[in-house]
Amino acid sequence: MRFLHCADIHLDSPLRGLERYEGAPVEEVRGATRRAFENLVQFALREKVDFVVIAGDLYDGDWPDFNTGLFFAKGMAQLGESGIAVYVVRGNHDAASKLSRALRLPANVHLLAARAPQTIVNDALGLAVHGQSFATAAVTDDLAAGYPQALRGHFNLGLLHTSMTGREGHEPYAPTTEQVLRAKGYDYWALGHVHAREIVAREPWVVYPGNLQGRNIRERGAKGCELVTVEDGVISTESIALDVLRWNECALDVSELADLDALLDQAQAAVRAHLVAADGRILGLRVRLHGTGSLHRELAARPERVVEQLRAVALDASAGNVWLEKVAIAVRPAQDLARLGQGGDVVALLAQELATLGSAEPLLDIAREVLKDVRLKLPREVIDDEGLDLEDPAVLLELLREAESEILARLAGEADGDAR
Amino acid sequence: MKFAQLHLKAFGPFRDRVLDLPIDAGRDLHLIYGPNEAGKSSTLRAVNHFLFGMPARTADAFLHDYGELRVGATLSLGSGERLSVMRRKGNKNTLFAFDAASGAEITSSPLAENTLADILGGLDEQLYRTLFGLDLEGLHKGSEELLRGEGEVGRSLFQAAAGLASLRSLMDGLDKQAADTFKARAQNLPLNRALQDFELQRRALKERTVRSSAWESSEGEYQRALARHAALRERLSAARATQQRLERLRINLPLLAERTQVETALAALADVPALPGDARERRIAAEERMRGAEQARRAAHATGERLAGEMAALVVREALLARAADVEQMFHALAAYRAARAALPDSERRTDELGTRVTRLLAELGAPEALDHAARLLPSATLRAALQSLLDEDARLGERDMHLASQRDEQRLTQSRLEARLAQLPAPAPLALLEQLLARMANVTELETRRQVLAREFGEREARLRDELAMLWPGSLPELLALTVPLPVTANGFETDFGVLAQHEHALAQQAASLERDLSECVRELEGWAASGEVVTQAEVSSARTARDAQWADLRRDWHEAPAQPPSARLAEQFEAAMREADRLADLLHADTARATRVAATRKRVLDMESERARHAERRATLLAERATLETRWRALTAPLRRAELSPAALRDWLVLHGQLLARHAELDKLRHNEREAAEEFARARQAMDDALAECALPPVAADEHLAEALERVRGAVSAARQTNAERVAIGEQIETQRGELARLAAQHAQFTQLRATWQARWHEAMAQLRLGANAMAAEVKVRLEQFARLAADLDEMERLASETRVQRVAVADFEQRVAALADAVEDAGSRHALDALAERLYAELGAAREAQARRQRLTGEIAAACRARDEAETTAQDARQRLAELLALAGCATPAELPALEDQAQLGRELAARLADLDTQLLRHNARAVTAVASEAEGHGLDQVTTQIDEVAMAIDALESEIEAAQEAVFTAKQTLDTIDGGASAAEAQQATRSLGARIASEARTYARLRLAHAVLARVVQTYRARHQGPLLARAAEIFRRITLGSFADLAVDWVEDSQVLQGERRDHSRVPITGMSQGTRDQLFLALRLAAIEQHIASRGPFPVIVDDLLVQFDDARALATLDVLAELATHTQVLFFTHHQHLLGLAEAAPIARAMNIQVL
Repeated sequence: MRFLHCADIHLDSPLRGLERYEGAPVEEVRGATRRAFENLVQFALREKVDFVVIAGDLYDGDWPDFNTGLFFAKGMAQLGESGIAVYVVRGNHDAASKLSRALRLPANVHLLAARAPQTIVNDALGLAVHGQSFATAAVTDDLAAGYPQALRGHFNLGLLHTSMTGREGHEPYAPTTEQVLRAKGYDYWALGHVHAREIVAREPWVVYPGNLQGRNIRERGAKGCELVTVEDGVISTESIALDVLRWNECALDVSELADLDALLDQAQAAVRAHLVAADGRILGLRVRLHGTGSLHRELAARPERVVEQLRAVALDASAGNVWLEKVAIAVRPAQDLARLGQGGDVVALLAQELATLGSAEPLLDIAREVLKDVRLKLPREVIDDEGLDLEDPAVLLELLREAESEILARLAGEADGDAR
Repeated sequence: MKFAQLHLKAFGPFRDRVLDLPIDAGRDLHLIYGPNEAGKSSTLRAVNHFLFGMPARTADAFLHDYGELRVGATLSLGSGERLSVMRRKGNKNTLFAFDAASGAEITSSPLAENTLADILGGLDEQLYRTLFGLDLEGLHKGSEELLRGEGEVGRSLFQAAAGLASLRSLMDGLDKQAADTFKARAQNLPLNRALQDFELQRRALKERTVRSSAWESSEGEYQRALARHAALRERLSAARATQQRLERLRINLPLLAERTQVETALAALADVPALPGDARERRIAAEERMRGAEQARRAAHATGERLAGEMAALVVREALLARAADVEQMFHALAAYRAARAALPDSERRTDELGTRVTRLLAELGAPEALDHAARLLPSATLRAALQSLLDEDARLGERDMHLASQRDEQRLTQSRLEARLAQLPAPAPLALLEQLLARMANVTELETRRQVLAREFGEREARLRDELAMLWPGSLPELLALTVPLPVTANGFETDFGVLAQHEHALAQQAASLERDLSECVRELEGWAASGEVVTQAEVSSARTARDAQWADLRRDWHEAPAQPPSARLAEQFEAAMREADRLADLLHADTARATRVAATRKRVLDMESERARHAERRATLLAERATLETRWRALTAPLRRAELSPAALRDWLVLHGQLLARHAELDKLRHNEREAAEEFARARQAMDDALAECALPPVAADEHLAEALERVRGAVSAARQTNAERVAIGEQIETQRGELARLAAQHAQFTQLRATWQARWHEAMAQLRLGANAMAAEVKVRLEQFARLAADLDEMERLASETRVQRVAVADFEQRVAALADAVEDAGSRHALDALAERLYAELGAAREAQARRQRLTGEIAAACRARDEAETTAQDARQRLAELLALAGCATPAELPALEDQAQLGRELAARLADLDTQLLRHNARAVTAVASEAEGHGLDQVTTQIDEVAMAIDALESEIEAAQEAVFTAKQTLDTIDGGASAAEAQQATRSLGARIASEARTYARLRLAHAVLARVVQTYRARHQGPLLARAAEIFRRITLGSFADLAVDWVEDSQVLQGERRDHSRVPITGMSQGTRDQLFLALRLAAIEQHIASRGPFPVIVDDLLVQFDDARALATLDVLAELATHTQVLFFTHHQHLLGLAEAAPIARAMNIQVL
């Protein structure tokens, strides 16, 4: 018996943080979550699996476009034409979604009940699927505790949308423990909700497959589903990559680099290496520059130009297959600020200002005031998506650090008004 | 930290040059003088490169290679210890210790890269220069900025403290960039545009989003349309069913009527016997067959008789037929027999000829033995094969021998050619030297370009300066430079004075004009009144009365003096006239008192105005005197400028131009100096290049040769050297290859010789077997083999002929014997002499016998057939009679003559029944049910009524079809609407586009925030710095300013101008001079004073670091230069000051002054 276990499809969820620029592979990543979902369907058909389980979160909760639901239903119908059954539980996003209420799913899709745990038995396969959908967006009870005991003589599969004992970056929904799961006597627990792949346990198997397609830089690495094989009672599982765009971060240490050309050379090599690892996919790459070195001044004084040049390098090295998501410049100046700050001269004063940033409440007040005009104009989505809350001290602190790096660079004669 | 020694080990023009900088409290001002070409600029760069590392590209490697560049120093650290450090060029491990006494490098002990950075308190090159560097350019720019910022205190202090040329442009730059990114109310700035795009995209997203409710509504609409369509279809099919039923009735009604008629006719024929339908045909056929059978029987009988007659006449030879096979065999063997008989003599003759030939061949082979043994002499097949193999091998060996010989010759020839070419090639060129030379020449070319650029720039600027000078000054430049020019403040004072004077004059003129206008007005008024009649004033009345009283007094005096005499009539008349006049005037006055009062007032005003006019005249005279004095002073001031016509305002402009001219002149000086340095550097590099050319045995660069041409020449030489060396190596390799090849050929030859010997042995052996000599030639062997071949062929032919003769003889005898036997057997009585003719004849007779036999067989068959025909005719007649009898029985009649009438009736009955069945079938087919059911359905219906109903139903169907069409359209429309919701990704794509725009907004907003915050933080630091340091820094700067300006300025003051506090100079008389009122020189000195005060502060807070001064005092006059040196000497009591200059004049000045005691002078 073979089946696919996937979760957190989040169909039509947008890719975040990808600012368009000349040469960015816009067409190549269009509809990435849809294409990843299509990859799932095609893989199931090609491998002729016996069934598919989806452990919740088919759509984004607040996404209202009915077309998304129709697209999902079409994919399911394709599986149905080949006799592949699909077992689904609703996750927190689906419970919040209006789509999932109005949509009629094909007959091969078995949506497990939300009122109480439900068991669907497939005698032809000797399979018993146990599960319970989310009735509301925020379920904080241990749903698994209410699941029935294993059905003797069957392969028992538990379908559950849960955060287990808690996972960073994920709401603590339907919390449960390994002990609870183990006590049910099931063979395989197909979990969803956490977007990173994780094999929680092997006896019995408790698996998070991760989501189908990474949607931002936090969801890095290969994404896809689990191909589970059960032979003579022995279970094995294999991760299948289905993603269209692969997110990754490329950290470059500038400490030993003599100049910008050296940085660009290193970036080019790194881009090529990441491309190979992405196995022919489009790469959503964040370049993080770190370290302490003489290059800091140039980076601080002309960040936009550095970004442009890195984009050009990425474009060139990848034949247009890399989308540079962001260039995060976390390079520290070569100077020792603490030592520079000793004294009463101008440089010392500036260094002292830098040193007091963390606790400089008046400076934060000034920053709030200075940025008031732009703050009032920023759309809510941008503030949430891009983490750009200009009231947030952490954000202001980060911006102040960038600003002061720029001042140090300019005081020493770099970039006199030609930074753009 | 201070420098104790500077080791210019290999840098720029220096090699192993040591500068001692003795550390001596109070004497740490080091004047480092380098005349042109001595390398002052190189030394300055060496200090920087030592402290902060050598850049990747440097112009100081024209004498030394990059790898050799070294600058070292012995440093005196704050703790009193000394550290000797050498810096090399490189990316890592650039610092190592060295022995200061011997200068030997200790490369085995590299120092940590941050050794010097730590000593410098974390400052890098730029920040160090910012804090501790002073040069002319920085001074000018700072001074210009002071002027532009009009001395705003906070900025001026910060700028001087940070050694910044322009804080203003830095802050403005930040502000402008931020404003170029975003403004709250702008439209076209990047962030504003992104925000607008975002909003548009958000709207597009909303439009493209299909909500569940929209889908449900569309789907409901579609389902309803479908249901309505289905209902209408159902009604239509019901109507169509009715239509069909009526149509069916219309067809059934006539059929049913006919059916009833047929049934009635059938009932009338119920008693007629049921003869079969073919009864008539059967009867006629039976009668016809009876007649035919009788005729046939008669014909068959006649034929049988005729054939029996023919049979009796026929004769057949049975004996010949019995031996037919033998007769045919003999006939066919006849040709072979005749041929064998004819060929036999020829075969015998040829056998004899062959015997003779073989005997002759055997004799040739030297074996005249009997013919019987000849076959044994023939060589075996293996011998022949071996011989062929030996022959082939001989050919191969011969060919190979020739090939080897030709290869050897060819290789030897090639080798000698290669050796000749090698001998012709020029000696190996010093490629490494040439390449170094090329690198050096590239450097020199760069230097030449730089020199040319500088020379061109110098020329251009000098020409511009001359033009400007011509506009400004009629004399020469040195005169202008020596000229003492008035201060702008003086010009301003004059301008004010002239202005005040002009104002006074103007005011006076205006007052005078106004007075004149009033005066003439009053006079005109008085004249007007005078013209309109006499006007008497109180004064005139008084005056008339006074005249009257005087007359009266005269009269009385006259009367008193002579009382007796009557009054003089003249007096009395005069008195009376005066009295009358007074009375008249008094009367007139009383009559027009108002006019009189006004005239009096006007006259009074006229008098006042006249006295005012007199005062004006006095004031004008005073002003004229003042102007004369002022102009005298002005001319005295402007006379040295040779521009007597200059106004004070023009003078101010002139002074600005003069200041600029001086600045340009200073720049030009610096440029000249740079140009000379570049020229010297170029000359040195060129000399080094010539040396290198000589070393490479190349002619030096000719005087008329361009450097680029020389460079090309050297490039050519490098290229030629590379090619020669490459060719030499290639030829050497080829010669080696040739040698190897020759050795290989020799080995092959030895192997070949051995093969040849083996072959020879085998050849000898074969020759013996062929009865040939051991050294027989290959041709002989071939001839011998051909002889053997011929012998073999002849022997074979003899054998074949013998066998053939034998066969022929046997065949002739056998044939003759068999023919004779055959003739006996068939009882042939003919002659036996010509047996072949006998065989031919027997064959002919056999043919005739066979024909007779065939004829007999044919006749037998025909007789049997005639008998069978007769029998068949009889049987047929019998059968026909039988059939007629059956028909009569069926019809129940006795004779065949009664049959036709009965047959007609039976036929009618059958046709009626068939029609009835046909009608039933039609009804059944039309209605698909039993005829009875059809009849009962039709019952009660008439054809006319049914036709009317059909028309009605047709109309109803038409109406329904129209409705269905409309319903179909509605279904189609609803489906189309529903189909637009197809699971497409349009909304999702709009959402993605929105997010991408969000990312753009974030990126732009971050840029904007960074710039705005940088501006805010900088402003805050400026303010903080000012708040903390303004007092002490200004006090110290004022002191330095006073000293540098030789007391021309006593202090610095801060004053409010509009909303900002500005710096001003204060003179001894406490008058204040704003920055804008200072000459450029004074402004430079003010900025220097601020810088020096700030540097003292930096030293105080960071500890002593060398202050590096680059030719700062070029434009100071001697006194101020000395005063500045004095301030620097004072600074040198706290730290080390390295003062670089290439002005000997300054050196002389310093040496002659008392300050020399506090100074170390180094000459490069």
